[in-house]
Amino acid sequence: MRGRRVFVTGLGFVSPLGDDPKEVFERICRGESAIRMVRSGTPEIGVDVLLASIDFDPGDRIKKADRLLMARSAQMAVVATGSALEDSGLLTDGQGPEEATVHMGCGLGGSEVIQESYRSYITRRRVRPTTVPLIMASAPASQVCMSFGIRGLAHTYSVACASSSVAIGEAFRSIRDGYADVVIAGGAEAMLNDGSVAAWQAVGVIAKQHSHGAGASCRPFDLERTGLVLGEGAVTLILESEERASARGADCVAEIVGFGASSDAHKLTEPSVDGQERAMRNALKDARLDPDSVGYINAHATGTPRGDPVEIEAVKRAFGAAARGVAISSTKSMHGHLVGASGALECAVTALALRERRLPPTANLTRPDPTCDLDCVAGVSREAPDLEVALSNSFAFGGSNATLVLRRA
Amino acid sequence: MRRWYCERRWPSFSFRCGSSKVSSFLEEVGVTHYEFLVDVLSEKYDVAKEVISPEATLTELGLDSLTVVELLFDVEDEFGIEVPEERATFQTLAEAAALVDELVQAKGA
Repeated sequence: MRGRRVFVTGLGFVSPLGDDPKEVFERICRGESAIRMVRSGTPEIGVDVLLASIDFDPGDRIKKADRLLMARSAQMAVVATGSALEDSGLLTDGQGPEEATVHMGCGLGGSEVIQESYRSYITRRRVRPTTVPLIMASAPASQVCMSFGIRGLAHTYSVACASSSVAIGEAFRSIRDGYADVVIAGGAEAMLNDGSVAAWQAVGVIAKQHSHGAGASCRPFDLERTGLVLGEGAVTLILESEERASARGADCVAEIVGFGASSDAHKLTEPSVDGQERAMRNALKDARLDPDSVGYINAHATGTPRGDPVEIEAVKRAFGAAARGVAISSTKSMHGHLVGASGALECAVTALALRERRLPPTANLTRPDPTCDLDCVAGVSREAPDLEVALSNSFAFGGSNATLVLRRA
Repeated sequence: MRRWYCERRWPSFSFRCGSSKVSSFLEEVGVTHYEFLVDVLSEKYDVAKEVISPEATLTELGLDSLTVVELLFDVEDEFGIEVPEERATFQTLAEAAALVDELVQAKGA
């Protein structure tokens, strides 16, 4: 049995490139980078590090007393979800549809609160009473429910860098299979505090500043790539069944038609061609589509020397001869790697690419690596008048892979 | 356009709980423990000053079991006291302030 069709009827962003999805998409198409050199830590103990951070202020969107009970990631999730509900036309007197369900992705939860609680414990043996409910990874989903009166269910997927792709994938399945009619799906991550940044640097995957400046430092598929750049933010998509969306005449951004996942069972941080290939194959099989129907892939490609060629090889194996005809780009070159929110942002960008029929570029791709020899939409965006189907890939530390398939609505 | 956000805006304020500067300032100007509670409630918890009174219960002012212990954490930091769990039975603001008065005096004794 085929199941019900699922449409994206609203988008909400809190992203390093801005909060208005249309504007963010335009900035991406212009190749604008949000990556800056930032001082992390204190002047005495700290480092200058490339980040795609956000000057985030929830302003009047979250009550002051409520903020005491929300870490930064949860606040971002609430603001992004408010915007998405508003965009979809599903917000009435500040409340969303009571029957909706919430599927959120989050890697580290209240990362800055974890840091502060450890610091406070070590220096004073005193920890704030609100610490536990603020640091849990499921807090963004719970806060979304409390803020908008959502009573269906609130599930969190913590799958490292694939968290929000899995959240959207499971949200898609829940509508297709008849468990829900309207889902708030997305991800939130805010881990740019000095402790987490230092931990990421210790892994040895963070980009170094390029001679052309901070904005030129994240260079997926390029010979001069040196690593990834961490970002932060929250992105929410409103998913609805075809019946519900058409009954209320909702404006559809795109359709979600497939979800595939896999596990490498290989290494903690080393990606595997096999696992990524199977995620894409599973997703296309789920969507009942052939590789040659796919016009665009929003790649996971983070800009690390080892990771990017693995994804290109996986595309070649999953797509066969069709690999030469598909456009691939990594928008992380501009918005950075949002970890638990990454899949949601990139899925939303993919949906906008289908609606605008425009391929987002890979910024800073000036000297393509010969091992990344597919069409990686170097530097500038292109019109794609025939674009119908696109993939969004997210491949996580731990070897969890997720691919979403979207179709033009 | 629908506005889903609330009407109030978080003001930028330099008041910071737990800072010894604030504490010495309070002592200098003779601000009582009750007034400290009022300030924290209005600045940090956004409770309107006009609804705050000695007779008001913390529940009436919008606090729950978690935010009450969070409030006590700031009080303990501010005055260098420890509120024993079994003493945290106050309902009204006046009762809370009286307990703080007592614990601060006991500490000084």
